[in-house]
Amino acid sequence: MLTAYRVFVAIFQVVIILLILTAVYPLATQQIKVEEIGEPDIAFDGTNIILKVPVKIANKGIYDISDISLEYVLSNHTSKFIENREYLGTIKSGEEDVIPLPVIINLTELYRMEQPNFYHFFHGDIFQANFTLSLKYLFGMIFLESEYYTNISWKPPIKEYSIGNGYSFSLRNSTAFMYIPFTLDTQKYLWGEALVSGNIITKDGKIGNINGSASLGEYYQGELCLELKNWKELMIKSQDLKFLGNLTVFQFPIPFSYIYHWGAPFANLTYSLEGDKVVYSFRDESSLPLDLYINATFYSGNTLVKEESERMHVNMGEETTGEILLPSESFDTIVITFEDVNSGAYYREVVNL
Amino acid sequence: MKLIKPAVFAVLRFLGFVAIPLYLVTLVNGAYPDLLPYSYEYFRNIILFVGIPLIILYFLAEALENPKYKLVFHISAITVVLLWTYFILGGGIMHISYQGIRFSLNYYSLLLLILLGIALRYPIPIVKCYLELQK
Repeated sequence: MLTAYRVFVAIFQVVIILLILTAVYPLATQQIKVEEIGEPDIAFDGTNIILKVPVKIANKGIYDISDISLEYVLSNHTSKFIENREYLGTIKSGEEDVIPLPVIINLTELYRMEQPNFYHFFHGDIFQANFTLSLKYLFGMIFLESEYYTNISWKPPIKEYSIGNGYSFSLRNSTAFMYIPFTLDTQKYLWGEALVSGNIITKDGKIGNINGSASLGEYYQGELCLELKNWKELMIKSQDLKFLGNLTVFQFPIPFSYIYHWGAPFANLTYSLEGDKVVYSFRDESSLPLDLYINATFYSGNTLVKEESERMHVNMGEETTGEILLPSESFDTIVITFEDVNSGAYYREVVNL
Repeated sequence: MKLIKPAVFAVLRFLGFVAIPLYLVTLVNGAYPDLLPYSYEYFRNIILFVGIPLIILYFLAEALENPKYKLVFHISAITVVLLWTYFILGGGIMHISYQGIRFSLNYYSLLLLILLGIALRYPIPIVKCYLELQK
């Protein structure tokens, strides 16, 4: 009886020793190993920005690696940025899996956190990342947790945007439409369209709206449309325009404020009657040379008396003075029109004598 | 007293519980100074101050003729082996730092299984003592 019990104890102990040896041997001989392979991949699923760090876990041992999960905390020098836990499943014995360890950045959460400045939508940062990979082994009898710290470079979804010089102009039903160059550089993982909308404000108040769209995930070059109700002053007076609106990326409106210096094509326009002519002067402060068509129409009552036209080229920044001969007949109204053939910029002055 | 067999076992136990573990710990500590979850002194003290008494207890258990003394020393020796194992295995929890990565191992269930494997030896000296007293 005692001998039988001794045999049982011996067998039990041998089983435990074998269990330990078969668990430890693959680890010691690197049949079980975790290695980082390749560069992290960044994807966007419409809600989350997902950084995937590809990690190969080879399990050539005889026990499954189960309940693999990853916990991570991202923080910068001021605050905790993201904290999350992802369950990654099980790697069966004899399998070799490439698991993209995901770092998920929920844009809704980021949007909520970043209000009102939305710093990380536009600016990079260095995050201190604390990763904790945990797993179970040997029928769950061994629980391993590995923890390491690293720095992750945060690249903002919106790299930069700019509003450039140059414009085109058109009039429709007394509303002016100006198109100005616009670039939007966004990270490659984004897709779809961004919308730009807002108000155009001068020191006298709102003068119109701004709108446009840009494709995401590339360096977009296009135009923004300025829809201007009160636009006449813009033709003759250079000034700062404040664009106040939203850049909407997916469902997230990100406020922006941009000061745009508008250079008037007919800046400081003056005209006067001197003897038998109308003398006018202005300076082209716009970003384009002017190929001008100048038209002066003289009326007496509603009757057309005379029409004078001339063409003129004005270089950027050039001060110009010109004159138009008055008709010999009497007149009481002069309509002077300046129109730039290149941009479509247009200004008309009606002078009642 | 028959001393040859207990002496041979004592030497083997010395190798198993003291010499080889001490050599391995020294070796690991020399090659990877930060790898050991506890200090080198901790392991050395457990190996020496728990290992040597258990060898002596086993030796006495096997060398003495009196069944009652044999029982007491055997039970004590198994208990000390349990303690030796428990402390050497860090109580089932181990923290290791290696190349900037911190590992935490929790193998308490496995440790209990190992301790059970050792504790299963308790009935053997009891039954042996009982049988010898019966004679």
